[in-house]
Amino acid sequence: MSIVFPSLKPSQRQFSLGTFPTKVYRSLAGTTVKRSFGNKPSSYQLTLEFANVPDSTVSLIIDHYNNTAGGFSRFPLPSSIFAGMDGTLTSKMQQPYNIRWEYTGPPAIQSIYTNISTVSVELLGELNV
Amino acid sequence: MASEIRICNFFRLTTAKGVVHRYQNYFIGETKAFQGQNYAFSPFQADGALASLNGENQQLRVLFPSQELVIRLVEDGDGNRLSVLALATAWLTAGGDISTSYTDFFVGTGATFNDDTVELRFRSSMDSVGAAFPARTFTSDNVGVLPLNSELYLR
Repeated sequence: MSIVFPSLKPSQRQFSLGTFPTKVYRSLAGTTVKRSFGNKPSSYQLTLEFANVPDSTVSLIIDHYNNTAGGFSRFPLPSSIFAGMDGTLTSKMQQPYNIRWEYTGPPAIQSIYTNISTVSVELLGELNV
Repeated sequence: MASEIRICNFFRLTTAKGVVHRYQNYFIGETKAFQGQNYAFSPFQADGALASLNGENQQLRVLFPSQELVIRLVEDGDGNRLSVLALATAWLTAGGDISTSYTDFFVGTGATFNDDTVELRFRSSMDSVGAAFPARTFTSDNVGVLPLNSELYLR
């Protein structure tokens, strides 16, 4: 069962496209031969920061992390994560071909002020076949 | 010489009970037609085939993740014993079309499970014997049950 990430708008967002599965053989002469092992990219990376959010928002993220077994279960992302982009770009980043997201590690929570924290989340998008 | 290589393995396994399984490992999430048959995607890896001047059997292992369908494939196939594998290696164009392919045939000799992979083991079907063997043809009529490897002894 996939549990959608909470509908939150991040204050910072960094996205890296996936990579195609290839290996490179480099000869002593310096020439290279590349072999492709598949026709779809994988291992997309997305880093989100939710700055100065109330404790209730932090709880939502913690609950989601726990309910997805902390990186074991994959999940889709809501459109709000990509707020500010047009529809075409959002579709390419939100759900590239058969990609589901997972946590690469526990969310990092920095206390800023009473009832206010900043949360950093790192996600990995992998092929779901 | 091509500096960009795209290779797809087409795996056609016929179990001892006659059930046929077809998988390919390049077109992710797709079903690909090859020689008139459809091959579903499965993330397997084939390696280990060897050949030598002495004509020993080639050894091949095919690694699958421990998915339910693979475990079922092994269990239904009597532990991969006496299955027949046709493994095609196909070179692809940039557009994904098959340009050249070679097919090798193997006989299943067993399987190994661990917590994340299933290893299917194969040997090449008998293709060579020692020089001391007479030039005769083995059939089940003259030697009984046919051997599955090249470890044959003259007595």
